[in-house]
Amino acid sequence: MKTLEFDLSEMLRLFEEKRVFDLRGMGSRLIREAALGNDYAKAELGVIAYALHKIETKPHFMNSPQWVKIKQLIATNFNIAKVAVDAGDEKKFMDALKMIIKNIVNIDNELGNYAQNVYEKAKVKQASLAYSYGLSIAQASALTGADQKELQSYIGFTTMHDEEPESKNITQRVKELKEILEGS
Amino acid sequence: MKAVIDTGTMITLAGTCLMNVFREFVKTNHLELLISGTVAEESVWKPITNKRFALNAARIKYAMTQQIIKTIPVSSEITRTQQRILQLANNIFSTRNGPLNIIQSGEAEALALAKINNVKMLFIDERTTRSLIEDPTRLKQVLERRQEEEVAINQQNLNSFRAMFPQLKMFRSVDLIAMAYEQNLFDHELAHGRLELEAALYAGKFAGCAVSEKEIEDYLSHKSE
Repeated sequence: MKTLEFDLSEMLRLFEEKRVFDLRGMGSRLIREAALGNDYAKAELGVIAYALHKIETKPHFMNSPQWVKIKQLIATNFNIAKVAVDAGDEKKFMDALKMIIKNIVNIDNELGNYAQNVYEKAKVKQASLAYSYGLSIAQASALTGADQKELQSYIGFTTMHDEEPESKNITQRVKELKEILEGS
Repeated sequence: MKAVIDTGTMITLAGTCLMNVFREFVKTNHLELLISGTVAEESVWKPITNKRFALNAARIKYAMTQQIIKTIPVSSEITRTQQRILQLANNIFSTRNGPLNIIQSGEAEALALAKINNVKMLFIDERTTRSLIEDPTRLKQVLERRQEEEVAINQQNLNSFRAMFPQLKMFRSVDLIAMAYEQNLFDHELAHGRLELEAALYAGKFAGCAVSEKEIEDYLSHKSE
């Protein structure tokens, strides 16, 4: 498992070098590590990585002068977060992450085309990843801050439940249900 | 007969507009369907403030007012049992990084309600909690494959956890829908036909119930047109 200092430096580097797919891959790794260690800070970084990757793939964001300014602010806050982690200042670290999230939400409100903002979508996407690693829906939601109903609905449209067959099928469960109900 | 229902199952049934089928299922089978205070909070009071989910939440709220489901306020006994469940369930599997926290308080509270009321049926769409009781070895394999880490089982905690629910059987919203079809209870919402059954089962799947397409198709293959 990588350290938070490493994760922050790596994420800043990928972000500045516009390596969007590596940023996405890093987001997945962070969620995996967050699920393994019940690590909320890594989960938050995993959501941020996915949201930044998403923004960087949208030309109307990339070509906007506002995005250039916001990008600088985000980079500054990554550096503040790094210094805070080095100093063991948890509050300053969390405040820096909150500022990054605020910047993402603000630019999305200004330039985004969807009612649901990119950060909320990123939470759900990354929560579905945590669910695929074996966490319950509620635990995956709690880890990433995703809405449980949004997550359940999102998972329903993936092939996740087709990949892992259930130990009992509908016929077997209906038979068990009948036995209990008829025995009452 | 008493049974417990979890948030996810309520959300699936409300989201697929099958609340009338659900009501008939509860009435016909003389079920006293219990939900915990936290489940009510998660499936009704929180989402009712979110415009996207308010209609579903209002449907569940109506079911509560109609006494189709009964909310059980959180008591010290529920909290104590819930804490015990969380403590055991989240210390069954571990990797070299430590124990895996796999379930949350809402799911633990539904299980606590099932334990305290000695119920035989828990309706839960969520896969992980169900696997923990029904097939923990398979869950271990899933965790190992997905997380690419060796996972160890604390057998003592697993045995203690499973011993809390010796008679508990788990069902999903799709099982409830299939059973309602077999009991001819669709006519309060839909016609009694294979097409309607197929549509209802897939609606449950797309609403997030943990069921595969193969499972649905296998079940439907035994039903006549």
